[in-house]
Amino acid sequence: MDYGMSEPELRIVHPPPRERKPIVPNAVLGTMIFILTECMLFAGFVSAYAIARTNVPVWPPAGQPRLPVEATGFNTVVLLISGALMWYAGKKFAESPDKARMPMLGAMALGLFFVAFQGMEWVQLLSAGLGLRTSSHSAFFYLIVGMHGLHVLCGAGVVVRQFLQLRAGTLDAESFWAGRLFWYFVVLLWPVLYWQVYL
Amino acid sequence: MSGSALFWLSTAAWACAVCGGQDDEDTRQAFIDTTIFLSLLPLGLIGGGGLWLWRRAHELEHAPHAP
Repeated sequence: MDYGMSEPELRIVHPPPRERKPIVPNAVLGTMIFILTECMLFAGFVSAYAIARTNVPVWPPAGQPRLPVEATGFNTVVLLISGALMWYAGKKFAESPDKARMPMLGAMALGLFFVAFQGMEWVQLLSAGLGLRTSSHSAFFYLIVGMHGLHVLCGAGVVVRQFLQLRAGTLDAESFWAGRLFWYFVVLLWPVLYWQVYL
Repeated sequence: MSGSALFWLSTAAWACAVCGGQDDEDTRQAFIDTTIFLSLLPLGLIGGGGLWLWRRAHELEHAPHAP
């Protein structure tokens, strides 16, 4: 029956969807998970090393070259300064990307110095007769320190790449955050390894 | 037949990496310490990471929205 009135139009009005921002960028979350697995890798190495050193009465074994404790201590400080500079670069990046150039350059240079210094140290130890098969101590030394050195090398590669991106003005904050996170990991891991292996 | 031969011909092996270290007290203690360390470390890492994510989500939730 038509009473001459049009039926009211029913319309469901949805509120506009609220824009949800991710808690952390994907690159950062991925790096965090990667670092977690890396922590377990190094924890396994350090645990195996701790057990191996209890199996022998004298540690490090007698008759093999001593590890350069003082020189590596200096190199440890160099790497820690590199980490501090990277933290400062991140702080400056938030203000203006251009301001992050110098501290990032410093962090990159000190990181590469650390790797070069470690390489020289290895050459000296190898020439002094401390090979991978000399003892379980030397095997663990090359395994743990070498694996960390490989991580520093990869981290330095990322830092160099990001520095070039920063110069070109194409470095985004999320990638830089992820790169910094990995660098903090390699920097903060090293004092633990130094304490375990060298001291 | 060959399977049962393998069973009978095989000799005992130290398959477990920790079997050789039970005599020495220091080694035994090192095994206990590292077991505790390796058990707690992943829990601490995951718990710490989860707590950080939760706090960050809480901060973002209560942060003033951009117009």
